[in-house]
Amino acid sequence: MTAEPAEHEGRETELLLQGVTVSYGEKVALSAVNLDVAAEAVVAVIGPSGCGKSTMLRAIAGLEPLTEGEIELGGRSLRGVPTHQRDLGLMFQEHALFPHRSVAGNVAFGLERKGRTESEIRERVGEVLELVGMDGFGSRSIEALSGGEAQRVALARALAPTPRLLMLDEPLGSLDRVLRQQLTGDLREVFARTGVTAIHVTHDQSEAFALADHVVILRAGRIEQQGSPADLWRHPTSRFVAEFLGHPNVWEVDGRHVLTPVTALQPDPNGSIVVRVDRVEFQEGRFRITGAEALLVSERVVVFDSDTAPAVGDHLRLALDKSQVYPLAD
Amino acid sequence: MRQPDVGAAGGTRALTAVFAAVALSFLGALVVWPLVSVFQRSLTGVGVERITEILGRGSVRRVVWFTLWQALASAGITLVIGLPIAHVLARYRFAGRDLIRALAVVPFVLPTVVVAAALSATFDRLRLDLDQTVAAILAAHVFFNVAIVIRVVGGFWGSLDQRPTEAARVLGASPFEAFRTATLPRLAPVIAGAGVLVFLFSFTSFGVILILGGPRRATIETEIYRNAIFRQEFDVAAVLALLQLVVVSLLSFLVARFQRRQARHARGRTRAIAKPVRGPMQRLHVLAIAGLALAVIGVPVAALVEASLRVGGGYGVDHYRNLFEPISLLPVTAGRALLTSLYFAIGAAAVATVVGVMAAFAIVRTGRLGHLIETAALIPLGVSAVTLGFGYLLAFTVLDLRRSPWIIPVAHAVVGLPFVLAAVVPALRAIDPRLRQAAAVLGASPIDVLRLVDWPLIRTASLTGAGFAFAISLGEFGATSFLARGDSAFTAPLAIFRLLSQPGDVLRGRALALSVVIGGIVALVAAMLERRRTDGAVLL
Repeated sequence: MTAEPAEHEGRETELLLQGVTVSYGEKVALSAVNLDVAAEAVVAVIGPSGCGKSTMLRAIAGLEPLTEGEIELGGRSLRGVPTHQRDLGLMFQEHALFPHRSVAGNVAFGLERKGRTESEIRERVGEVLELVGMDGFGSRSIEALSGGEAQRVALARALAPTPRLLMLDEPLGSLDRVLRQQLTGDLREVFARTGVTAIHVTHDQSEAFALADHVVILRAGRIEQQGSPADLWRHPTSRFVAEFLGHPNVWEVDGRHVLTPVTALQPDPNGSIVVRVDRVEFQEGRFRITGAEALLVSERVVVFDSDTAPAVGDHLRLALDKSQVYPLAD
Repeated sequence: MRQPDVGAAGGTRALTAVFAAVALSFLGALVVWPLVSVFQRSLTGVGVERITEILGRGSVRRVVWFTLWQALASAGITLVIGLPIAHVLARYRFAGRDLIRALAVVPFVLPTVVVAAALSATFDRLRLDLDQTVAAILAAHVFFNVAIVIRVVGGFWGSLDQRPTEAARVLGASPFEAFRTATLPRLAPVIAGAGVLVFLFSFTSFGVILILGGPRRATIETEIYRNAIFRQEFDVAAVLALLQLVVVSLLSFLVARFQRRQARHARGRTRAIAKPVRGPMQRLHVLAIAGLALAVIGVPVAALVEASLRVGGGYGVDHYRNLFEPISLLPVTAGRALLTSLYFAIGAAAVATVVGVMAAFAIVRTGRLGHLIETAALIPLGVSAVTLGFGYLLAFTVLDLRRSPWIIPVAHAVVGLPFVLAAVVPALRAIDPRLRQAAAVLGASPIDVLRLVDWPLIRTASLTGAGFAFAISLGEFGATSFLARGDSAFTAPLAIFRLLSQPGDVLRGRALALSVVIGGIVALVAAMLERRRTDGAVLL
């Protein structure tokens, strides 16, 4: 398999993974992964826990030795290059800020390693803290920060030395939902303003779709599918991807799986499908209805939208637009 | 899944390998080789026939019997006195509780020769003629070890979940029945563990027996010393050291077992709250026990200080001034011996801390090798210093290293090493590996990571360990008495021992003054460490 080009739009390749495999004895965490990331692209890597997405970041960082394969950053092979000479930024799930340094001391760490002068460091620290909305926090101690503030500082610390590649390992995973939504928006803005090339690992597909130009879905150490968010949503190739992205109507027909998009089902008195209404929710100006269709020996769940709200327990007829039904690989 | 530490960074592995190599060579040369020498001397050098012959001697049997029963009696009496104190300190809130608690640590950190001097001064003051009696030995052991019972049992008791006991009361048990059925079963392993620990320390007690017991009282420990140093009976010394090693290993195993069982009970416990004192009966109880604690701990300390200031009929600092006067009994002045001790203590603390920090890295970062290093480093904690000193005598005579004064601070460092590890290893384990990874990604080389992440986070713990090593070296007597040769190796504890062994008030006054100075320095260091609320105190 060759690496699928990401949405390059004429930009050069910044990060290239070729046949990257990481295994611990018998257990294979990452298997022959190919990835091509364009300069200034934001790539999200998603998948269920244990799929190898964190291992991928650790392999790029040099924290996990490769069993096989090759990683190139900015056209240079990373083989034999120790972690500290790779010019990366990495943001962890639980900030991993240095407890013995102040906010400014944390942000300055990477700049100090690059041998910047004191005035350069001071200026850059102020700049990055402002970028993440933490200006004025420089002298604070790490213990005094809230979870969201700590993550902002961790982002500033990773960005300060202007790394070639910024890697984010579930950066919002430990935060509550409201904070997560707010920070997702802020991350988007920071990515746009800095033009940094970024790989964002998450298990939350809505976060990935909101942030990335290109989404990679990992399953058990292999890339299951990759593409633009819109592309992935419209054309999932497998049942795993369809279900992982949250498509409700993945049906088995004649022993094969098909995806019936919600938009393919319309209430219609002459329709061929009869469903019993089980649940009615109001979503974005329409009613989202979860029903059950009786089959020969079992039932299957059918989800569709309607402008009017039927009562739970009612039976409704639906018309199916077969042209939208989409076959899936297993 | 636990992620492996900075995996691909070969530099980190190289550093760890260097640390492990340093720790292994240090422990191999200074712990394993000397003890192997003892084994070798006793098993192959003496032979099984001679071993049974020596162990069959009436004199040896009497020594073993006395060692056992005095240790058993010491443990029993210490528990009887210590448990009521532990109970009151754990269960009641009253003025002076913190003072007694802080005071309770003092005897345990005091050097054995200082403890012997304090008890000797106490008997003198109380006009008790206990010189060279078993009672004197037992009293010193109780004074020395009561802190263990108070700290170990009291600490556990104070945080013991009260609900099972309250449930028993609600179900109709009297206060005593509730204690017997609901509290005691949970306390028992801790009490037993503390008892075995006191037994172990009394079993290997050396300075106290030598000074307070006089020439006629002999335990395994003092007989190893006398046979090796005075009688040149190396076979007998080796057989006794072997016996000592066997008993100590057995007891250490017991302590570890009790600690495991205690850990099981500790799971899920909640913080119980000490109650204020209510009613005249409770007040009387608390008052009596607090008085007992103050008497047991405070009287010997006060008697020592008072006696060191007594000059003829009045008081003065003459004995302290006399410390720098030369006398024929000592090769150097007492003051000079004190300086030697301070130099050695600084050297020992430096060596123990440097080796300890390196060993800690190796322990935390390597699997089986780390376990081996940890085990080897903890051996000196159980094995008595006398056995270790005897091992040095056997092992280093070959290389003639024993004549070098350097061997003393190095031996002290070996004895202090477990305390450095007890402080540094938990601090190192507590560092989130992601901090090191974050630093590496930000461009820090393995040495930078060590310097900028690890070191700042273990600095306080290392200083604590250094403080313990310093205090232990300052008072170390057992190993030193085997190794000290020449004027430049004559330490303050040796001076105290020699001065106390001779009759005469002038010499005695000097010994007491020196004891107060040494004890004062050690207590000061202990107080500073205590204020930091360190992990090292776990070992006490």
